[in-house]
Amino acid sequence: MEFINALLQILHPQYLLMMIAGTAGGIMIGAMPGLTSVMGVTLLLPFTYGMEASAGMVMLLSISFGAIYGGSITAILISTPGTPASAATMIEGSKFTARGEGGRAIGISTFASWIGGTTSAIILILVAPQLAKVALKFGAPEYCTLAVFGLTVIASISGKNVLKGIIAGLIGLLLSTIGLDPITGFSRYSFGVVNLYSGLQVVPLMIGLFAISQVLVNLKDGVAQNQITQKVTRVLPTKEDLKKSTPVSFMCALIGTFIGCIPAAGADIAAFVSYDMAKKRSKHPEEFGTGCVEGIAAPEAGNNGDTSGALVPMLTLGVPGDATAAVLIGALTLQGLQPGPLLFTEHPDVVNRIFAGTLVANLLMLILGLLGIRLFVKVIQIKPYILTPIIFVLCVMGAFALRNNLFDVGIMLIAALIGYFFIHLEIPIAPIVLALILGPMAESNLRRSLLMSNGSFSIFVTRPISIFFLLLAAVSLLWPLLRRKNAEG
Amino acid sequence: MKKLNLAFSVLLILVSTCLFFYANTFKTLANQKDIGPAGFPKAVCVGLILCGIALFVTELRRDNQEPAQLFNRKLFLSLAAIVAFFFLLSPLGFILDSILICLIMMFLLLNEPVQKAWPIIVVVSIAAPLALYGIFGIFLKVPLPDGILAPLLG
Repeated sequence: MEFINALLQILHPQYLLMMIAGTAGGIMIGAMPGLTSVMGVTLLLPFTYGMEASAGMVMLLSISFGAIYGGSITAILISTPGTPASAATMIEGSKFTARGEGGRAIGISTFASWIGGTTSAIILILVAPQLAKVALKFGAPEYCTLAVFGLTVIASISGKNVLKGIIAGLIGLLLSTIGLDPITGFSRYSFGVVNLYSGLQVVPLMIGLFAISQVLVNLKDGVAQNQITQKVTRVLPTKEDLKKSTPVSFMCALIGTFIGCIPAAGADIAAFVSYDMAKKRSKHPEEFGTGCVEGIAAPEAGNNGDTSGALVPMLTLGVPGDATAAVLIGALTLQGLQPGPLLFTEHPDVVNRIFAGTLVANLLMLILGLLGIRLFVKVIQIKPYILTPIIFVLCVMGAFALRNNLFDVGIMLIAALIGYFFIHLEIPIAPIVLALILGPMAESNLRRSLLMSNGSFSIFVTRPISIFFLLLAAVSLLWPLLRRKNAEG
Repeated sequence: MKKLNLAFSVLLILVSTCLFFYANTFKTLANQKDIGPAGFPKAVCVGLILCGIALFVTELRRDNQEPAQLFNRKLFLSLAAIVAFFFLLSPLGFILDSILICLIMMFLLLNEPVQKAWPIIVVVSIAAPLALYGIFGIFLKVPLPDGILAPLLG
């Protein structure tokens, strides 16, 4: 009953206008390479000080949902993931655009994001406290085995050449060790360069490897004389597309929500694991990598599913599910509210409005996303010789804006050169990004676990959740072989 | 492509071996009960060496394909321009440097007659960096380098 009241309150102009502005702003922030949803939420946090508690929270939530979705637009249309969470979407999305079906891909992505976000919002509303109890059980061994499972996804995203994918993944793992050692604090592979002490930043590396390397290819080969015209015949996805994508979206929404509940596991991990799961469950896994509907829906549902999932530990325990949730804790504290179990009993109105806000914000994202398709597609119809340099300058700014450091711009440019060579060597780039994200999680938790167990590896096989992830990893690696045996037998 | 892959696999093996031995210089604490700071990097280096060997062997067996054409004059010019762009970012400032790189890149990418296209190239090369500076530098307050224009931009 109170929830229905809260829902009706949220639909009043004062909240609705904030949420529309937040969603639109979030989509734009997410689309721009280098600007992440965390940055957007952080930048606008001070403005919420003067607002009422739930108004500020729902606006920040709208920004974060919009931004996670927005990254897919540039990932699909210009092969430049706007946020790391959209790197998986780019694998299929760029193939759609090459066929002139960029608008169709965005439509599928928008619907999948909506299903992902709404499903996880409903789960948040219904079972938040129970889910939080499971999340509490995660210790260093569980995080390590989760990361190991995440790394097995590399085989799925390697395309045809798994050996080259593994090489890319190992390179990513090695790059992730640059910087200060997480346990001892001494520097590794930094060769005395002060800027390397905090390690390589994922975002400039990603922009360089994906986007600027493509700019270099265009500069060498020139851009196509006949630009591929994007046909946008309808904005809503077709019935067939919806039929194919909806079941996958629901499954990946659940995966995303679960990963979101785990503190420190974010939307990027959710997206890659979802993509991998969808490929393994698909009747036509060979279509993945060539531009298939399920391949777009899966990571998008997964990464938006993560957003509300991250709110579960945040609201129930005061533990952030991801970086954005950490900023939201700051927003609540700014208002004098303490996230945790008491929030539900002392301020049920605020909590209900936040719940209602997640549902409405996701719906706004769907509407604005679909309305914007024709506009987004028009932008990439701009002549390539004009668009490419603008993308270059935008990427430079995005890389700089992260830490206000020219060093990151330099890393981006070096990564671009490496990416250029990798394109010619046919080495996939997505595994590098995935390994760079998961490497630190795997290593630091591996070592913490060994410290906990006095050097014994048995800690990984004596804890139930840890065994679960190890089994998942084993199945994930053996799946292609099992599948082939099934097909022959 | 085959030559490139073979060269890459040799480079991979060499670099991984060097990094493996470099890892022995990592400082660590006494009485450590875990694998230490060098454990993980060394394991990854071993993996890379093995994969490098595997890649070398598989590429050796492959039929010779046409050689990859990695560089051409346009790419060299672009790379030189990008390197200059990076080193001029601080002294010249973001706006001026971006205008220059946009102009250079647009002319390099141009696939239409120059007479028709140059007005739009000049306009976009000036307008786009200014607009982006407005969004990032002014609205989002990112401290982009002002360079020579510092007295103007304050």
